[in-house]
Amino acid sequence: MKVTLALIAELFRETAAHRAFWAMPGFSTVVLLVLAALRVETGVPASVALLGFESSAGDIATLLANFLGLLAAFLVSAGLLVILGAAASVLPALFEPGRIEWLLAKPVSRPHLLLSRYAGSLLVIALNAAYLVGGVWLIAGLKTGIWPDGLLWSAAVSMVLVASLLAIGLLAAVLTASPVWSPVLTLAAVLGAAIASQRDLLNRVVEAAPLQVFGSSLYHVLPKVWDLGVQCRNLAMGQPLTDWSALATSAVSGVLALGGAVWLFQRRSY
Amino acid sequence: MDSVSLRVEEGTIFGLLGPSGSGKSTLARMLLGCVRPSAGRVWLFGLDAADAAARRNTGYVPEHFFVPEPLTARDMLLYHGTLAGVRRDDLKSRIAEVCERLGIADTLGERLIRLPRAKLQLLGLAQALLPRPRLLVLDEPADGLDPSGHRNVLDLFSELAAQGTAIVLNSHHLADVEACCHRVAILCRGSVSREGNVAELTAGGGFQVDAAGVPQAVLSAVAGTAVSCDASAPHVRLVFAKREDAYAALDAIRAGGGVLESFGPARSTLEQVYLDTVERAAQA
Repeated sequence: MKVTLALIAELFRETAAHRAFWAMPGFSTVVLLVLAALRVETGVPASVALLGFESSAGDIATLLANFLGLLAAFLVSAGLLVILGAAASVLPALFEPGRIEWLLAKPVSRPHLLLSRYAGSLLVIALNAAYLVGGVWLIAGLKTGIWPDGLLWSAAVSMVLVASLLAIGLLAAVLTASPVWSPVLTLAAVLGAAIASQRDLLNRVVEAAPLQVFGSSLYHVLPKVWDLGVQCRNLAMGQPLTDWSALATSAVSGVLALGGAVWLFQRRSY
Repeated sequence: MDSVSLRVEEGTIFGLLGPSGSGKSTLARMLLGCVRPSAGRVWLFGLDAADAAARRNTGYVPEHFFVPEPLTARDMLLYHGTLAGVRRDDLKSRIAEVCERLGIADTLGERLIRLPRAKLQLLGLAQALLPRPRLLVLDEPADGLDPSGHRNVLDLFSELAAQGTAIVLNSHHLADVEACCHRVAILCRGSVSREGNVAELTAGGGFQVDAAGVPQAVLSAVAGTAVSCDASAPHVRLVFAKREDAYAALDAIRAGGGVLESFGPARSTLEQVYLDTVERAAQA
């Protein structure tokens, strides 16, 4: 356990040394400060005001749901960007010459090293998300009296998506060991997943059967970026999760990618 | 690597020599499980080198290592010590002990980015020593050290070997290898071209006479029976295959007014052995 903690702590130190790391908590802090400064009228019509600017709607629940839907969409998009950042920096950094030999020479198994790197990266993202989501949940609850639990569920679902995409990023990093090609492969997977999710549209545009089969296969193999993005928004707006299959198959994709990364890492020479 | 079979005993300093690209670093990394052999096995303390437990008793200093810039020297050693499995309650005192021995105790609070190359090299060595390794694998460990640091490190290797640590030293510094290694393997194109004790490898056949002020006429007379004659003034080095020829030359040199400087079994330097071996391997 102390080895895992040491590896994760080292990853935190390494990540914190990048200026870009502070963009997300910095942005979250600004959002939370703005929300805390809002003046909220919960009557009918409900309104929110900041520095003299006011917006009103039929009721506060609708106003809040709309805001949370936007926030969920932002969270998923930001999560995708952070994953690309991780695929370009902390994940391939493990394989830097001079570092990887040093780590491999320690009495720590390769899966332990790799999974600690993955867990550390995921924890960095999860803590950032928890800060923003937890803050919004608290401020919204205190100011409106409506505790938006759907936002917490939305964050949990988005973390499943992030975890599975991060596993693909890790697989790309093991495959290429390159800070250039690793994010390119990860981006290709994200875009491929997003495009493949538009199956009906694809089937109308692309007539060749092999391409349709390819698109359909991609949809089933890759995490369901689009479907889960929509579900995160719906959950944040207070709607229930109607389809668990996208969540389950995305999780399976992530587990398979993680297993592939470990398998490959076990066999590589450095 | 091709058909490499080596055995390193406890308390032995084993030198790995060879031209660039001969496979020295690959062999060192193979020992530590970094490089997976496509065929054959590497055993460490009776365990497969791929098994993490086999590396519990090893320390490694790569030739070029990653310096995590935000860390202080102490943080770096704590990190590596933890990964190496040093017990937490022992780690701080062990760091102090090792750094004291290497003369870098004053750098522990400094950030790595501020440290000169020599101190970083010693820190690299310090992290390898933290788990009290039974096997130390060193890839060019003395690079960048000043002469006193260099001497200190070589003395340390001898101390460790005396305590039973096996050391695999991969170095281009032939003088270091000759000075401190007990056994040497010379690698060429991925296989072992020569292996043996340093004394065995450098022992030449015949007898060597070193003299000065030898008149040209005497030199011409004795050089005829010598296997080799190096007459770069003011010294003369003659090597004879037979003892009688060497004695005759000694007499002739003394009678001619030359000054005898040394006489004994002919020896090569490790450098000569290395160059001969590499040249022969290149021609093969």
